[in-house]
Amino acid sequence: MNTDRVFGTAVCILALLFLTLAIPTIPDDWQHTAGTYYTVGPRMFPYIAGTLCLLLGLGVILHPEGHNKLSGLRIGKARRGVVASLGLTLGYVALLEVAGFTLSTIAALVLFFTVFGERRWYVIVPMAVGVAVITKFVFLKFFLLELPAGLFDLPI
Amino acid sequence: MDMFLAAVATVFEPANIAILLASTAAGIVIGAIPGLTVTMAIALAVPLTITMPLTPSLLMLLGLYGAGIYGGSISAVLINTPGTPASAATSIDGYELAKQGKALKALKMALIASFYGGLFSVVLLVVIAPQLAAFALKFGPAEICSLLIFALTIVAVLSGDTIIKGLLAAAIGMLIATIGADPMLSVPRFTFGVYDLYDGLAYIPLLIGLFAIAEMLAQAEESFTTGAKLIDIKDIDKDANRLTRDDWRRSVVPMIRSGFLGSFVGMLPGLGAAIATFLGYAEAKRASKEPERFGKGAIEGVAASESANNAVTGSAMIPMLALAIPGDPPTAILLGALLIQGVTTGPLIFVNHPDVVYTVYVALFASLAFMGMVGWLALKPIVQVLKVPKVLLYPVILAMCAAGSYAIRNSIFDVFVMVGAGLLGYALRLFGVPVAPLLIAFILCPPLEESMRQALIKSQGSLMIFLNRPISAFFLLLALAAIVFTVRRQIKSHQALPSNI
Repeated sequence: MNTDRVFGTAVCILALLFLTLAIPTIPDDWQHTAGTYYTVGPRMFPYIAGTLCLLLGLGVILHPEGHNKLSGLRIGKARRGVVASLGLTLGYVALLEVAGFTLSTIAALVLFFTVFGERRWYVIVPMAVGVAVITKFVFLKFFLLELPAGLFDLPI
Repeated sequence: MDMFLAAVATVFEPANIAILLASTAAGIVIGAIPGLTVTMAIALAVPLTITMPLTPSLLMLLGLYGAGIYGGSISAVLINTPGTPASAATSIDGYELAKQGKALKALKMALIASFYGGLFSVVLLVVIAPQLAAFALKFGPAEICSLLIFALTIVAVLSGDTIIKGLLAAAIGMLIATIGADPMLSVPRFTFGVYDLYDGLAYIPLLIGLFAIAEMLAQAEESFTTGAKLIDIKDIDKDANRLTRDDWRRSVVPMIRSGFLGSFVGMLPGLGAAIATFLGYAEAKRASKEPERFGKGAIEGVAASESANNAVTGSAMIPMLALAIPGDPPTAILLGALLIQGVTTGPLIFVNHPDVVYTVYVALFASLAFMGMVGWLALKPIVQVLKVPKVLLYPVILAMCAAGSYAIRNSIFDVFVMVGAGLLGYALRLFGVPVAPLLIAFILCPPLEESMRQALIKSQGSLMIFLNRPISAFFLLLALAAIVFTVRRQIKSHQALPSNI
């Protein structure tokens, strides 16, 4: 089956679910406060967006172009690279709130560098520590923006 | 004339020059860091201006404003990660040029176009501010709605392989934009009890995810082979990075046109630079005799988008000064900063505070000149980032993006949104669906929904309000024409438009 048709079908199914299941969850108690005045409710725009998605999804099914970049993922090494990156990214984000920005960034960078083949410790360690500490310092001291402190609440 | 000369003398005092220099450099850096916005930079700087006299405080804020919008183009060109939403369109061709070893050329054009766009809009501000502000007042909800529909349509139809995929990306963006409290009645939509969703999804994590994280995942397909550079160039090729006569020939008209477009969008309250840049880019592509070059490293694409986004900086001041209506979020903060200084804007400012008006004019010119100088000096050092191996560069970008996404609302939820948007952006890329229309639809939809509902309430539900008003009908006709002409062009040429947006 043409990949565009698969994509179009997925969009149509999601749009249908959105139109039939998600939109009815929008509360309609606002109508009690609107009184007799004419107004346009909060469901109008989601209906427009969902209907457009459904129609354009159908359009993709009916006029598949087949321009895609899926072929790159047929190579096992490419798939592994994407999965490893995604896994490390998710792990890093999950760790942020627990370990704080500094520790989790150091850990994530060390893992990233080593998983993708960097073996020089004199590059890995200073880069990981430097990026984590400098980013936190700049955000905190120059931009006055907090970054996740984590359970350990390191001063930097 | 005396007031003008007095303003020049004040602005060019050594202490004020130092402030302008520092704020311009800071603006470029902040703009280049994904997640840190111009609005945030100006908001953070306002408390510092409270104890300052008027001129240095204006110089600090205006320096940050113009330079910050230009700074966004640096990361857009070098690492395909727009520093600000206003530079999202710049990355389309800028990054392609960088991949061809012409990053310096793209950055030079971005700087020149930014300078031109800024200059054009400041001249407009000086020459016809009150008249233009009066014209902008003719834009009611119906006109704003039609203009936004036109902007959305033109971006969507010109963005992808096919019109359908471009429009579909825009529809997905509209759908995502409906999450959170609705803009008129504050009724929660699709929040499912999750507190973080009540304000909707923030656009910065979405922008970072769609561009930076998706790019990282795409690069990970090659597993970041050790030693591989983002762009494998040993030294910057000077000849390839020189702006040629041909580059100028291609870029001048789109740049001028985008200056007009950006200035026009800037005048209209609530729109801003992100919309201007996509409109400028899409219009340059539509008008081009070789639209197939766009998305593959067209220098005129960089010129058009950068001229449009910086043209907003001066023109957004027009309604702010003449009517006390800010054109975009940064000018809303500037309005507050002026109030702190005891200056009330509005029609009477030209009578009561002409000195302030002249100071604003001179400060805008001076900040543009400094943006040009600082930006030019920084070009070559900045390009060196391309020499960092990918295996080191992308994890560092990830850390910066996570920090930027978190800092927007101090919410770890936004960092997860960034990752989710990255996955969505990567998946859409795989299926050849452009992400630019999705982002622009997401940004446009809150004002679009608001203006559409306001117009319909005003007309008691009649859609004729969009056709009975001449300006509104004009924009709807333009949107229809854009679809018809693009379909005709695609049928005629039997060739697909570039897909790498």
